[in-house]
Amino acid sequence: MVGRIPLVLLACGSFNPITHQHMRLFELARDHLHQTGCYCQLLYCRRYKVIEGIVSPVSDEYGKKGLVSATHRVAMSRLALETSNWIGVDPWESKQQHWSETVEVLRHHYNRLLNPDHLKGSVQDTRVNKTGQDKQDMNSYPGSPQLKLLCGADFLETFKIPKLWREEHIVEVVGKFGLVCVSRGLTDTHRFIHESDTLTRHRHNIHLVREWIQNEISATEIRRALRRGQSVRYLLPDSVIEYIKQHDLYTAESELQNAGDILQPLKTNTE
Amino acid sequence: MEADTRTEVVLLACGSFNPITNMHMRLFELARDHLHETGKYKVVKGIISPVGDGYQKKGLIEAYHRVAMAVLASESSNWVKVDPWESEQEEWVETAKVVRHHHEELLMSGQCKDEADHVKKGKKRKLRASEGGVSEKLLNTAVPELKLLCGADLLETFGTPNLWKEEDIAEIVGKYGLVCVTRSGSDAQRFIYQSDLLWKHKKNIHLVNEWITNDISATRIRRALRRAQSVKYLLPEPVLDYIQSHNLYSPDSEEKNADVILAPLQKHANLSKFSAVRFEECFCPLLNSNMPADYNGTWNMVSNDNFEGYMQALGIDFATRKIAKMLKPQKVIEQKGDFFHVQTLSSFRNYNAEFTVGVEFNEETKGLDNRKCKTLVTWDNDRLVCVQKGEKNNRGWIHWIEGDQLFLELSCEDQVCKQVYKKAD
Repeated sequence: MVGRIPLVLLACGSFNPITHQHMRLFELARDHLHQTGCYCQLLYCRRYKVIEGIVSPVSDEYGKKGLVSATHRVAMSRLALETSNWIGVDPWESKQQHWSETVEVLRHHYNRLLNPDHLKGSVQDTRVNKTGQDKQDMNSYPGSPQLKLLCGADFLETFKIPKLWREEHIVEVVGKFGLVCVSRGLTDTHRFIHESDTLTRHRHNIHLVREWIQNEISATEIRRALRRGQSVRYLLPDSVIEYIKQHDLYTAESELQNAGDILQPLKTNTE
Repeated sequence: MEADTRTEVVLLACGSFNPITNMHMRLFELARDHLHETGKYKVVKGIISPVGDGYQKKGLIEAYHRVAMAVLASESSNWVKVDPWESEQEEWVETAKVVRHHHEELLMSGQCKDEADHVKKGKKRKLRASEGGVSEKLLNTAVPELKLLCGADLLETFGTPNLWKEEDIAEIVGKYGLVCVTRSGSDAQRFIYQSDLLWKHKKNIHLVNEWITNDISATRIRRALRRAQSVKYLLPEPVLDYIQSHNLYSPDSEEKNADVILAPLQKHANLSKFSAVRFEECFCPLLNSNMPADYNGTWNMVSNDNFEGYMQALGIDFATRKIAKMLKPQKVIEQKGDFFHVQTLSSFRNYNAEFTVGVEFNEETKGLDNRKCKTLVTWDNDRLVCVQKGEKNNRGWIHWIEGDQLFLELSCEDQVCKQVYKKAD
């Protein structure tokens, strides 16, 4: 695998709960990066090797309506990812006392990856076990791995919501790190990028992946189905469904959690 | 304790299951939830019935594997099971026959429990079916009702001529019942409304709305597997393991049955004379290029490029497109001066067009997309150029002859279909 750039994908989100759709994003992104390399105009365009995937559930301080406790969301993600040999969950973000901005999470993981021996992570960190054998691979590559944010098209579009993002953070996310954005409607995504000067400037660092399966397994819909006693089988792993049943998560009450509160990022950026 | 007066239901899903996916399993879950929410039904069993190899669909791998994968997928389910009966039959079995078979099985298993008691109830049930719903609530029979579980695409195939026997449709929706899971409930409702037969039995057609779109097409999954792309989380994990360990779904497996016509079409449409024939392209130009264009004669299709795109632009439904794509029609042209009579013959549909060059006429594309156009055919040197003015933009066709070949370009919107025919001997 000479010449391939090692790459780690980081997905931030509520994961409330994690679904097959979330995990599909990783698989699609990896396939795309492995097969197509980068479509940029640079002469020294090389292919990537995706060595790790990180699911980073947001902390409870995010304040989103219907968000159940981080402990559960991390546990469910862990169950869901049991059968994956490269994607793991990292509870660091969820354990922070305050809501972390996306750039903070990116910076944290980037620093961790630069010094793999320095920051080993907690015992609960499943990620360490998964990349144990890959650590050798990582060291054999020139330079440290790149870290990119994995997201859906809807995430990209949050860049245009007033007060949600600071301009310098958008620049850091797309400029310094980079995005791998999975989307069904690439035309719309292309247009969105085109209409933003910042995004256009960093166009080469935004990898668009087409989702060829029409899959709209939104966690919101799943929570709704659960509230109504409807089946969500085959939309998420059985182990996660079992967990939800055991802990009686996602009821009418849980959906009211944080109702009426303002989302933390909006609070932070208006201060 | 209150007696459960709900009608027991068994759901039967027929299909290729090539391979079985999470979406297939979802259909059962959605259907069960829906029926339970009506308060009138209790779904007691789900049956997955993979089609036999005799179906001869392109890319259909051996039934043995498809059954094994379905078993793996349903292992963790306590109510959905696989029944390999259909897959074990040598010849393709019509859906109505499969439903009948399972219905008989249910009757027999009911009879085994208590011979006398259940024969009586069986008789009562037959009486109920023939009288069309007499006092259903009074009879809580021991034999559950069998219903066919499907997606909207199957419902729409009822509208395709020669694919279903009228009496089979009547039996399935009349005697048994349909549970149809669809994203576009209003389209399905309209389809039922537009069919007298379906409308008559609409109480027996349960439309289930699929709010969480989950369009995991098995065709795309096979494509992804051929290209070594990931399909993890789209199928149950044990199915994925099975596919990987048996190395299923290669470019070779997709070519299986590529030249063969689907069994149901062979049966009903008497396609036997076409089924074994493959038209090879041959180029043998005639030398009489000085004669004026003479379109008279019988012309057999040699090639057909982008017919799919053209049909889609016309809004022709999926099932019809699938069938039409496989046909090799004949053009029979009678030309007397400027008067033309063009017949397009196939075992699926025949289309007749009569026109005088230079004279606009009202054309109704009956049997194609069923639209009305103001059509005008004119000469462009030796070419026949046709403009079909109507609902669709850029609609028309061009005919011309080169040697013993007849060319036809069909256009609709931005799609162009290029066909080549060779003069019959």
